[in-house]
Amino acid sequence: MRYAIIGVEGPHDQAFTGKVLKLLGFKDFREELKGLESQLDPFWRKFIPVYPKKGNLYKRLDMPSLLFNDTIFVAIYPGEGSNLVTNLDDILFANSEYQTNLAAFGILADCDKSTPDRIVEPYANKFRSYFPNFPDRPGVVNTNSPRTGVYVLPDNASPGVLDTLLCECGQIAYPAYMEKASSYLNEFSESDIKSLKWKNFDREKALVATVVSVLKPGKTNTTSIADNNWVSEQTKQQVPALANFIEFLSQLLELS
Amino acid sequence: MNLKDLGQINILVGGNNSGKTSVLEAISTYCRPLDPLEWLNTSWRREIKYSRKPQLDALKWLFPQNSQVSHTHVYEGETYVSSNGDFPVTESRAIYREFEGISELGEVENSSESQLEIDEIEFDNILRGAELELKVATIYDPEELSVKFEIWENQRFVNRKNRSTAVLPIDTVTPFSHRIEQLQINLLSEVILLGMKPEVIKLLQQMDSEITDLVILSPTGKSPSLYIDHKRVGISPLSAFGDGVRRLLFIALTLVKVEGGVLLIDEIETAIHTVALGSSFAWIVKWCQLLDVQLFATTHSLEAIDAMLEASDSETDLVLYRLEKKESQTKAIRLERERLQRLREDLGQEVRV
Repeated sequence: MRYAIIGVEGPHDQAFTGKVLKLLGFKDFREELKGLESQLDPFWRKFIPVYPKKGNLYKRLDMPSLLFNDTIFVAIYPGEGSNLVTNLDDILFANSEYQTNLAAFGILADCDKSTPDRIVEPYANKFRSYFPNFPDRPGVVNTNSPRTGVYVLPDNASPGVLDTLLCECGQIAYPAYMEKASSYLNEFSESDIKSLKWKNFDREKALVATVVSVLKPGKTNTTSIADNNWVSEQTKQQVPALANFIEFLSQLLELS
Repeated sequence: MNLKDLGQINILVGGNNSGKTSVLEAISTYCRPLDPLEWLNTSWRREIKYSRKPQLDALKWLFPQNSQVSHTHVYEGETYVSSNGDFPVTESRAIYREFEGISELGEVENSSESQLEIDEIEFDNILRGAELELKVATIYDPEELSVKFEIWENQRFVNRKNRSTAVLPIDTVTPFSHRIEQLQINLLSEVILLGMKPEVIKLLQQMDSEITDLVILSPTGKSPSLYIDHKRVGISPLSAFGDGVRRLLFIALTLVKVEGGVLLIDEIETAIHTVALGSSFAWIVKWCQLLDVQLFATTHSLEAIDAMLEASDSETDLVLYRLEKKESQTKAIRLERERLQRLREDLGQEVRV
């Protein structure tokens, strides 16, 4: 069995990457093996978190999603946004088997605060000490062992976040809901938006969340991304950014 | 194995048989590299006094072993340790060479024979012995200092050579030393003279809040002993108290003994209840800092690691080394305090294996 780690910024990215892998034929450890510690491949034991986190009884635990096929076992690690570099650096530094026994190591990052090249910089600077061939350009997979790369959402070129890509998927999968949700959001005036202190890309986030509240009332975005058709064969065919990401993962994980 | 950038407080973790105690043994002999008694004591430290193996066998096992070589073969082995830092010794090399000789008793018994042939020597008359050659290099002298000692099987070893100046105060607290070693009354006296007694009592109160005083008494007028004054039971001998009290007192007194040197504690969590770990460790860290003592402690306990983090702050020079045994050598993963804290508190990571 080969092993791979994909670091992502948060739980939505984690659910999205997991859904893409399922589209590529992967099975989810949570579903296939009931997420039981006793069934966990020993390679991933270091990721089992110890509760409570930082003494805070209400803080969520960062157990990665684990997906596998016949040849490769992938951990999708959510690294708390801007702490992703530090968290993954600590984990790699403390566990030498993650430095030497990985078949692939990749990152999925947003392009919300800088250019895609700049987004890749801190990852390349940090992870080259473990993987000297780690690429310094977005969307590029280095095929030396381990395979490495950073995908910058939405398409390694434009500014945006996961929701930018999901909005494109929503236009294909749920065009009517997207239109109605958009009309609803348009009812908010400039001054409303200002008083709500929306930041860049918050409109896309609100749009996806509005559709999610219709598709899965009372459920989170992560549930909807996992269960609904934001990521599907249809959206893969019609959304170039999604097709790009799927191609990136296929190269990174060496999927035929 | 390389332990880079040691801290003042060093925690050693790793699986069973990963070499944690061996590291303590290497440090122990390195601090007194020309002292054969330190080598012998170190070799015996793993064993209970009354079931110890012969001194030669124990000493031999401090040196590299090879399963390819028969145990009946005359053994020769060498160890090498080097360091940098304030201690003037920069390298220590020890060579252990076994040999065989004929006992004097055998020669007397055979003295009537005109010529003693090797074939005629009875097996019982052959004694095993070993030469222990100890060498050091120091920052003052690029030439290696070297001393040799002969140690014979079943014979008391007497060191008649001059004491070396290449010495750093060092002592080891094993998981059972608080049970088998006599507490040194003179060390308690030293604690009292240093004005540390109230602090030592505070430490013991982590175990039993009703302890109020420590006294040296000689009820029979002969050998003085250590007594504890206790709110409920009154003045009682130390032996009447539990393991935790005895161990913490043993650690405290040993710490005073090695002022300006090195304290080695094997399995630091032994006998200390989980609730008392944090406060006990805070005491140990504080006094290591005040007495300029470098601490090396092994542990198997995650609670002990967390308690050591809790007992220290960002100013504390704390380092954890995880020993990982690979095929040809042991690797030491170094986690400095800040990274260790993130791994434990932010990421909830297992850091022992």
